[in-house]
Amino acid sequence: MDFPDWLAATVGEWVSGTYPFREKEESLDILEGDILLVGAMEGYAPEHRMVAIFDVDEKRRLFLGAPVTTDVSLATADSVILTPDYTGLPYQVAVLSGLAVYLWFVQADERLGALTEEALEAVWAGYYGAEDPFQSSHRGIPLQEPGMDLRWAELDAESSHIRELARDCTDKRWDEDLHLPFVAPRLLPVSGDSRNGSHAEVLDILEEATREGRTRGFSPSCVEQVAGTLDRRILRAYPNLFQPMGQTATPPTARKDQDDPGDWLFKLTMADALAGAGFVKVIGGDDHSEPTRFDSNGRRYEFLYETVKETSV
Amino acid sequence: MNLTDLRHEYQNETIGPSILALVRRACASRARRYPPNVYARSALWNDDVIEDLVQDVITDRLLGERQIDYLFDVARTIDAWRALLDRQVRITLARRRVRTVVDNLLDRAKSLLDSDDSVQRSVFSKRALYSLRESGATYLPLTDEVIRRVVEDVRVVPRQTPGRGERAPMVYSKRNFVALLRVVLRHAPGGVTIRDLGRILELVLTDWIPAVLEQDEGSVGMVVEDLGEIGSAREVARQMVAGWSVDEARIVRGLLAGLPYIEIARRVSVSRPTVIKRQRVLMDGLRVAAEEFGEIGQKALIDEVATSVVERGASDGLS
Repeated sequence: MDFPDWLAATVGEWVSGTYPFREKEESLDILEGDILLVGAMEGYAPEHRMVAIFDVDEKRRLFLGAPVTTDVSLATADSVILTPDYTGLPYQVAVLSGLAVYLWFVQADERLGALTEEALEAVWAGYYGAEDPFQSSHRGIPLQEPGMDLRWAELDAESSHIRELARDCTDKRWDEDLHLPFVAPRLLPVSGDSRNGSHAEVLDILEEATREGRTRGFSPSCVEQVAGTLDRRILRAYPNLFQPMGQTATPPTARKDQDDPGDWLFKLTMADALAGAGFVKVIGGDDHSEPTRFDSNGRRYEFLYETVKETSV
Repeated sequence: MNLTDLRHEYQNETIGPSILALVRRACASRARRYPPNVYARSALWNDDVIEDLVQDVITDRLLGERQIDYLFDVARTIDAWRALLDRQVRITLARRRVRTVVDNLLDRAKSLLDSDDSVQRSVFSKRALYSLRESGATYLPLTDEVIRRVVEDVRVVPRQTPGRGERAPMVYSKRNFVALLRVVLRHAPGGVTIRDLGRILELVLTDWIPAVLEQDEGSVGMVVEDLGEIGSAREVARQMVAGWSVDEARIVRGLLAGLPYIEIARRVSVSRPTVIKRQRVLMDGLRVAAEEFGEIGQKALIDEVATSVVERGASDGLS
């Protein structure tokens, strides 16, 4: 087969890329900021994916990772576009913070790069919707409605793939009651059309409580993600249920016996949207904490650090 | 050929005969599924044209953007490697088309701007410079920040979905394109060059890179438009937008652009909760209005709202 001159000349000038953080061992020491190649658990089929790690749970042996792609046109306003200076990779990438999922430590196959401190901060900020120092210069183009933005199908496919990789971890963390963020569906109002934005009242309550003295909690961005065009933004907020085309998600097995799965699933998605962003969590038991809020129906909520708790209805 | 052999070649030669053969095969396979007049810069896909695509894929993507490293970093099977390579071919083809579309838009822009009495044409560094006549500001090359801001605003302008086989689809109606250019000139009081405009339009069409090929593969069905309903919907939309305050129009424009509430709040100079409350009222109004129409009317209503708020932004002053 002929080998063209232009290729010989181009390859001759090629300088191999360097990977200062590359490491492949049986048991990687996984740290926040790592850019890892992750594979599927046994019995699951999808191909490997590159993810940027921005939260590590040593105790449960899992981490929160956002897909990393070299197709930077997929970057949206919550994604971060990073040049090699920020990653230790030889190519430019986009970290799709909005599609982050939980994965097991054992799924990590290889470390390829590592985010700088400010890049890690930006990925965090993208996930929570907060502002960060290089928000404007390193973000993608905001995602518009599906009818206006042609990237939805591709993002949906990317989301499906990463969720498939995360399925084992997602299922088991529910099944094993790992006390990861979860809000009781009954905390949410049920009257009227649940998709018309009426949950905004609850969000307002949560947000108001957050503003009162807590150092971290229900951030403005969380409201942004779930109020307004609720169905779409909720799904964007919680990538495990990311389903822009409105397909049915698989509910956690522990909750499959509810009477109205459709309505319940939506409420759960709503709840997960709050919880998935890491701001709120409902816990059981009767212990009371401050501050306490009441909604218009007389229901009382207690707001703890990263916690929302219903104590009476 | 398995992935281990391929990796060995990559480590020794970067791109050797085996990788080149796979690139050629991927290009031939992918390219022939797309209209040559759109993607080939030629009337048909022959060997020379395919080889031209191979060169683009290798020099621009695999080596120029170091995607060859990415392929070997991520793929763990030869099938996965081939799938990633195929994606590189698709992106290369999509970029070709975006460039064609942007070139076409730039030609239209020059024509429109040259014939617009409110636009002043001058020269900066041997390049044509367009600015609003009333501006009087000095030209400054547009920063990434300004470009991004412009793009966020002009992406609200309704676009026409490209059809299969259209080499350079119109993308914008004349009215919408004029509105777009007005927004750009408002954002850049010192004026813009055609090169600046090209940067903006390429970013505006960002979402065509991953998606437009798939869109083209499907047939575009004919829609029998109910002109009466469309006309009514547009009229309702115009009246609604005319009834909104400047800030309300800005809020809707921000929502259509997909901006977060906090950013909209900053632009309107109110608190974020206030933005949330006001948008609820505005969206309720739109929802009620939309209920009067069928699907076609609703689309026309939203498109007209988008165009009208952009036009208002250009005349009221952007923020």
